[in-house]
Amino acid sequence: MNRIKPVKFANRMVLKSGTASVSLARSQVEEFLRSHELPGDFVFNMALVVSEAVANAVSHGSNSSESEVVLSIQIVENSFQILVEDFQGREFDPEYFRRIAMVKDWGKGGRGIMMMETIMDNMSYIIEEGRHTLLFLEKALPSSNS
Amino acid sequence: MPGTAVPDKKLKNCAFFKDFSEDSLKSIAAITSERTFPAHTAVFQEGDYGDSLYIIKKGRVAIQKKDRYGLAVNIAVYGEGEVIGDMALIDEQPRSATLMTLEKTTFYVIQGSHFQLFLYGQREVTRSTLYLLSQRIRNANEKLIFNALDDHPDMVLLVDKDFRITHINKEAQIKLGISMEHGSDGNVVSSLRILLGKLQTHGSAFQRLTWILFKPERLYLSVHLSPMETENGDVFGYLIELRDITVDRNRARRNLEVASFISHKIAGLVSQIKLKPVNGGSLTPNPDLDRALTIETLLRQIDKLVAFTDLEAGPLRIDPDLIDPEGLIRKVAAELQVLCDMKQQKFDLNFEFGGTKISADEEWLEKLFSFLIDNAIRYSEQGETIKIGTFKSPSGSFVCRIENPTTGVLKESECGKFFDLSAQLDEFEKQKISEFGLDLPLARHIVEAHHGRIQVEPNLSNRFAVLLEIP
Repeated sequence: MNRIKPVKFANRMVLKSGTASVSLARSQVEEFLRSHELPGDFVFNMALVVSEAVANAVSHGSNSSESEVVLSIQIVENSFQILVEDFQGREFDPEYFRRIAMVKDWGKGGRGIMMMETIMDNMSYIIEEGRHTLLFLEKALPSSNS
Repeated sequence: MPGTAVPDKKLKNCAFFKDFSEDSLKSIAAITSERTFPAHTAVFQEGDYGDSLYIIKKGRVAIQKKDRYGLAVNIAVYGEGEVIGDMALIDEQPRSATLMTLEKTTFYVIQGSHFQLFLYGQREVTRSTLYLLSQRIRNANEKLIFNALDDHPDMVLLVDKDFRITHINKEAQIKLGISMEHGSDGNVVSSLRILLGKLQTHGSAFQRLTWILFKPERLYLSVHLSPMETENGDVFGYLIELRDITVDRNRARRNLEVASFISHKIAGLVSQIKLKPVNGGSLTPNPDLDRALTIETLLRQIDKLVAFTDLEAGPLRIDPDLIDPEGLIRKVAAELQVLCDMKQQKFDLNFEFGGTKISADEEWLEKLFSFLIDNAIRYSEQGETIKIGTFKSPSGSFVCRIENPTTGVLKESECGKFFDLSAQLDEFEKQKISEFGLDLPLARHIVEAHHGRIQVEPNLSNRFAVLLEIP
């Protein structure tokens, strides 16, 4: 039971809330994963997920160009973990976006969430309405012989 | 079975007495007897009067309390050197629990009245006794709290002041797939650590916190954090309640039915739009229709149909005693003032609920007033007055009445139809009415979701009045 305690991420970067932050986040994640010698398809998928998560945070979360998005990544016990946070955001209802995406191809946000859900092993949101949205994503590292 | 006097050397071997001085031990030995009970014997029962202190010389016992079904539940198990019955020394109340031997057990027994006399002159004993008592009370209370938490219908986690989990109740173990013995089981643990980190960083300074888990299955949880404090006000841990606000399966199925029904109706509405050329465009009006449903009207109706699905899909977020309904009415009236002005209408507000706050979903309550007041404006003629009043029912519930002038008298039998969405849509399809009103069906939906009631007042002459009550 003592093993369940709050987590702190090793690598944390603050991104300005603009579209350039998406490509910056993507390249940081690619570099991080390549430095751990992970296979190309894994790196590609994780970069895709991070791009989507940061893009969502930028477009849904931030009311002004001054706002920040925080990206944290780490490898813990054979899994890659991603945390994307935005602050002072509008109310954000991922279920609503998902519903729209399933019914009809109306919006990008919902499809992105479904994509992230499909790729990742573990995904959760912590939403403090109007103040702080936190998206946690986790994927097991590929075994060395796969 | 009469006790026998105890030599002070024997007491010295017992953990409880190990720090006592030789003189104290001699004094205590003189008032201590030794008694032995067979296994599974009640030494005393919950509710008995008695002031003796029991120190286990050898054996094992359980402290038992009856649960809500009258069955004995072990709230603690004690062994050699431990002390029982200490509460009775202090409060002189009936025994708060039953002492049951689990095996053949021998006690040192000190009669309470003798012990109290002895305590007056023994500071060291008083200190260790007080420490023992405080520990005991805390342990017993924790055990009782854990038992109560396991009966709790919501998921509950206890954490220490550093937000490390110390207890997970049964409901949480089942729904989150975490076992008490193997804390790292289940996918949810990583996410749980993130939640704990968030709570640790921000404490309880949040209004609404929602935790959405996507895997292994979708769970929407409303998070509530309460500090646990000592008598001195020091926080020693937190209680985390996770209320499952996930739409259950039956509700989800009903949502699908509602969504299907509504999409069918919207398709029907769209086919009846009489298209008009816009900006020189060449859209051709539908010649088969003799009545026009403007796009503006259609969009308004679709908005409300979508509101229906939203209300069905998402549970209410009811804030206990936080919502000021009169404040919301003022806000809505101010927003709709522009519509009033266009028709040279005015509001007559008469608030007698006195600013009392109620338990409600603020967002939906605002929509409720918006639908009803908007409805009253649209169905009133130029220059008329819309009366909005609030008051307290005899039971203290919030009551609101919205009245606008109209023509004729509404019979009691006609009052129900305004709240029936299906009937209105049917009449619309049969072209008995030119526009269906979704405001009142939606209003009923919202009020009933708050366990309230709503009605149109019958038999009013040239007035239309909606009366609603929310407990």
